[in-house]
Amino acid sequence: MAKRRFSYAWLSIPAVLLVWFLLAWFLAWSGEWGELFDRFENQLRLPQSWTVVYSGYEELFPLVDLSGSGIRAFQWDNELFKNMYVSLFREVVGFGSALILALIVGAATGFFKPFRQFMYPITALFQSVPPIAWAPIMVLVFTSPFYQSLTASVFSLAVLSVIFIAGFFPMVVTIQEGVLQIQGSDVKAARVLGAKGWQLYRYVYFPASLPFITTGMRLGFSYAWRALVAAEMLGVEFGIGQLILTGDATGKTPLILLGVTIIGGISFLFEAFIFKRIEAHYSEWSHTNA
Amino acid sequence: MKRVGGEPLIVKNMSFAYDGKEIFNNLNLEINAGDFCSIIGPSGCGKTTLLNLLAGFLQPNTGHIRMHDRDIIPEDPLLGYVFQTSALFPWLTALENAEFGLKMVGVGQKERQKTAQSYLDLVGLSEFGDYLPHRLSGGMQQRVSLARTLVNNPHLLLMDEPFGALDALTREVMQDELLRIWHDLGQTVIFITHDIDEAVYLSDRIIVLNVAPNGIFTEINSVLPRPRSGPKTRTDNMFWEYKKSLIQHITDVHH
Ligand SMILES: Nc1ncnc2c1ncn2[C@@H]1O[C@H](COP(=O)(O)OP(=O)(O)OP(=O)(O)O)[C@@H](O)[C@H]1O
Ligand SMILES: [Mg+2]
Repeated sequence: MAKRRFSYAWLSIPAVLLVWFLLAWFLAWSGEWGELFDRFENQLRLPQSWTVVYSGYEELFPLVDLSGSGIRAFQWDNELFKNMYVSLFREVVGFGSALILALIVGAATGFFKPFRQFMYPITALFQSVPPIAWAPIMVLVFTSPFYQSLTASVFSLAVLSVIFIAGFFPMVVTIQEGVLQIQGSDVKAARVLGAKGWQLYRYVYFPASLPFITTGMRLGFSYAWRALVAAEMLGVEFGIGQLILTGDATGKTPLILLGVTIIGGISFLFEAFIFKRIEAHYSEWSHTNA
Repeated sequence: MKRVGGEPLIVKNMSFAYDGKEIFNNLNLEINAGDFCSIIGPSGCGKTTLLNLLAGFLQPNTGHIRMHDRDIIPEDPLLGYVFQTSALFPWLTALENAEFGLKMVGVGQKERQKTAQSYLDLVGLSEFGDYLPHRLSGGMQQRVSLARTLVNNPHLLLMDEPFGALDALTREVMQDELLRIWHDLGQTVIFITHDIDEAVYLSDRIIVLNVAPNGIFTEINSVLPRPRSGPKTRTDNMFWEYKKSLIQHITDVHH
């Protein structure tokens, strides 16, 4: 393991905050001098970062009563958390089911050439269409009274199907690559050491393709997450996508930026603390480049 | 010590071609149990192909290859194969690689670790058990491969230029180590090499393959006494005589 060294990555957040501050300040100032910068007036109101933080505080600590006392208290079932839970729940269900199916289909396309040939145009089609393009039709299909009676609105089959499409196909392709790059020499060596049948799968095919499986998971998760937030903005209840829409509809610009920050933050946390770590575990011997 | 009552390995009327490219044509060969047999021949003449046929990775087009009156399959527990380029599993440490064969037959972890470690000791890699293959040099990787194969105690040991990547000194140490193991265990060894000295030093028999397709081949039997011991044998007059006649043989074959 290399020693921990200073990474310039640490400079990026202060840099972004600085640009944000200057931009927000400039836009506010130009708004005051309306005569000079007429076209900016009332159009660009970029809130400062601390305003966004404060709006987060307002969400987490709602007013205790509506009598105007102004007393705020922390509440577990605040709107912000609810929206986050719902989004994370959808992500876990959609991504999870996509992963399980992608493992099966990716292994199958990897091992059987006819099935790989059959699947190729289908994967290519779905990968070339942005997943969000499917959302309107999914909303139409899954908001029919029949499906609505089946599922709670939090669940939203429309959103789930969009996440599934977004995560499934990249994972199939990566897992298939993982199977295809298994070295014939490793299989030969294992056989001559006595590995038979399922042992070959358990002790050779699986570990040999693990780096690709984990890379596929990382890709699938982030594709699914992006598609999720986009899909949530197309008329479903709850979710971070809805939080942003609410901010827009009620003119609460800080809320929009809060939503954006949360989307990026959650995605970053999963990348940095889960997927990158799993990948680093294999990078020593593997050459995945996805 | 030769394995008592062992059956010979028999190659009978064997022909083989890769998509029309003929490599063997009606080859007949019998190798006695416990023999140390080397195969030399020009690059591309079919040495690796022959080992793959012997191991059952490839099927002859005609004829057969038998030991103990049965066809050989790669999974045969009596079979060991050290590949030309080390095929260590990159995701397993040296020790785990060496344990692999025992794990496949269900030996408990404690016991197989102990056995595997003793074979790493044997090939001089006691300290490197927890290294992943990519952190070992090519020669060290090849020694782990050898250890991994020997752990299974094969009766038929196929070796494809196993010491090709080693420096001259390590190579001589490994040759003596191999002879010692062979004396103790009495496997049948089929050993491919490009190195004439190596073939002369190790073998009972040396088979000289020609350019493909190979049907009839020439062979010479060793007159060097055993046990052979390092510097003494290597500088013995008989060693040089034998080497000279072998070189003469090869030149005859190729002209
Ligand atoms: N999988 C294959 N498909 C088609 N032809 C092959 C295949 N493997 C080897 N050959 C051909 O068969 C011939 C013999 O190859 P082989 O690997 O047995 O040679 P070799 O004697 O081991 O050579 P070297 O000393 O260089 O290792 C070569 O001409 C090679 O091109
Ligand atoms: Mg070869």
